[in-house]
Amino acid sequence: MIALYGFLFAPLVVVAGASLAGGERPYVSFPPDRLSFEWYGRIPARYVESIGLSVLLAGATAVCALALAVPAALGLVRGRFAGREAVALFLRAPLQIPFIVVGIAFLQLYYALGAAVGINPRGRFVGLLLGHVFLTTPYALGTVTAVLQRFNRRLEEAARTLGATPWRTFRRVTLPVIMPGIYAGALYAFIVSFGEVPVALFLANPRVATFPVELFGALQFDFNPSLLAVSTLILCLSLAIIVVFQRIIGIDALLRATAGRDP
Amino acid sequence: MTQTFRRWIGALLLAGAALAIVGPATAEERFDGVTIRVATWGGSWRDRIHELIGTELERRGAKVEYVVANALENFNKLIAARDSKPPFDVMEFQSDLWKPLLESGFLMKLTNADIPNAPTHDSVAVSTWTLEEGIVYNTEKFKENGLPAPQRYSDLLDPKLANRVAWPDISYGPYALIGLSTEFGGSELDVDPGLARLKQAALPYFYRSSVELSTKFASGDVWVAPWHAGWAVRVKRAGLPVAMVFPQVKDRHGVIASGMIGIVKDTEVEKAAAFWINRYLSPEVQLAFCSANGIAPVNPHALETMRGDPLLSSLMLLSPADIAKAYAVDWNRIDLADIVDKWNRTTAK
Repeated sequence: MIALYGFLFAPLVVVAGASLAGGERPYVSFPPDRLSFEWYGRIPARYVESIGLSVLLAGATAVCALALAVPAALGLVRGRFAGREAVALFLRAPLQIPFIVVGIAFLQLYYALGAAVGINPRGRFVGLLLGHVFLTTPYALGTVTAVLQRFNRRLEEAARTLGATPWRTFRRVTLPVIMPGIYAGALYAFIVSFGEVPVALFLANPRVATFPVELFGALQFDFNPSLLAVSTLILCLSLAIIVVFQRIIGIDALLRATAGRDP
Repeated sequence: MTQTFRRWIGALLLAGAALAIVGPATAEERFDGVTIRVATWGGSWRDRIHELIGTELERRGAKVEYVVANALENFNKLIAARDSKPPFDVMEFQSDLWKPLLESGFLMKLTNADIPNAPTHDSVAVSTWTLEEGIVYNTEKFKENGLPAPQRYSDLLDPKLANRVAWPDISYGPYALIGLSTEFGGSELDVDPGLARLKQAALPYFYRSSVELSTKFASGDVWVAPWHAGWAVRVKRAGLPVAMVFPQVKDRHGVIASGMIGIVKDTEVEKAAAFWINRYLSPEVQLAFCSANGIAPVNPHALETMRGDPLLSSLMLLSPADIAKAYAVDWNRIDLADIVDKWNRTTAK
């Protein structure tokens, strides 16, 4: 177990430790020969702005992906129509497409749209959002479908028998029960969107550049420890989010959504 | 002469003097309301470009945006945007993209562009700097192990250096492969001799990222690598004990590649773009930018000034004669796609 945790956390320790190495150097230096918080104070403003954009984009992506995934999951699990399996496969198809191909495809689509109707979403927040929703909806669909398949429909029947309308039944009975699946789907969509590079590389522009694209652009050419400093801060933020998530919702809820246990 | 007349003459003279003082200041070119988009590399490269050129344009009223990616990715963006508004106005690239860009027609001819700092500009791009490729090695490690300094690319295939050599992946560029091939009768048109030697040597590590290589140099995992002088300058400034060798390639020493810049066709900010290029080629910008990045300027005054820097002189070719003696790849004849294909079939693991 110690070896496993060591294997998992060693890279994070190296990143955090190297971020404390003082002095100008174009390479990672671990262990640091001189400790300093110098690079934390030299994080460029554009990294902070891009982090804000990435958080906003990832949050919006999670919401939009769920808005599509929940009704789709209800239709796939409960619907009885010809071609249901084909529709399910089609909705999961984005998982099979390399992200860079998605990026190029969306770029071409946007230029074609611009030529046809004069609206080109490339370089705009909505353009990035559409691309990320395409990528992440299958993840949300997967988790919501998993909990819906284990859902005991007698609970809904009981509510209807007692006079609840279909909407009230959904809101007061179905939704709370499938909420772990929704939270899991939202988390996966957020994580995928936040860390995504290939699609954002093609669809971003200088005004709309996500944090991974900024990092990628910087690392392609050179390196300085401010990249490690900002990565360490992101790591600490992620840990804080997990702690808050555990306190409010509980990590167990996420595990139940993806395991084989009844809610 | 009446007093009134003298007063009028005096007033006219004063007005003329005022115009003479104020006149040149109002002649400064302004770019109010102009947004110029520059496609260039990221990191400190973009930061320095902005500090030296971008801030001057901003001072003159322009807004500057950077499309940061490697040149090939930016070229792909131009292709995707064909028949639409181009995604940027000015593009930096290296000479390996010269032929595709020339044939694609994406860049405008600079004949009528206002670039007085460029000696000639009758093509679609001008050279801005020279990248110098050679061999970088750790002098301390070589001395400790009693190894002679490498002189040729084939010296790196010595079994004594087996686990201490980093050879560049083809994605870095074909310079080292071309250099190795010329030692065995090949050239940029025939890299088979070099590929055969690399396959035979079975080197364990091919680097794709200079950042990764600099970390391996710092940790002592790598002692020697074909690399360019810019990185040698950077790691030496960080304290690593490195030296640079420009190996013989046919009857030349070292391999050079050019940095180039062009204006994208159908740009709406042609004047600002021309200003950008002209400023890039000014002596002060050439000196500051090229000294920081370990590349040779095209401006002769800047080149001469850099020769006075001991660190730069020890790692770079800084005289016109030495640069002229370096091997320049003929990008008009080379088939890079074929070289990449052969590389993938021969050395990819």
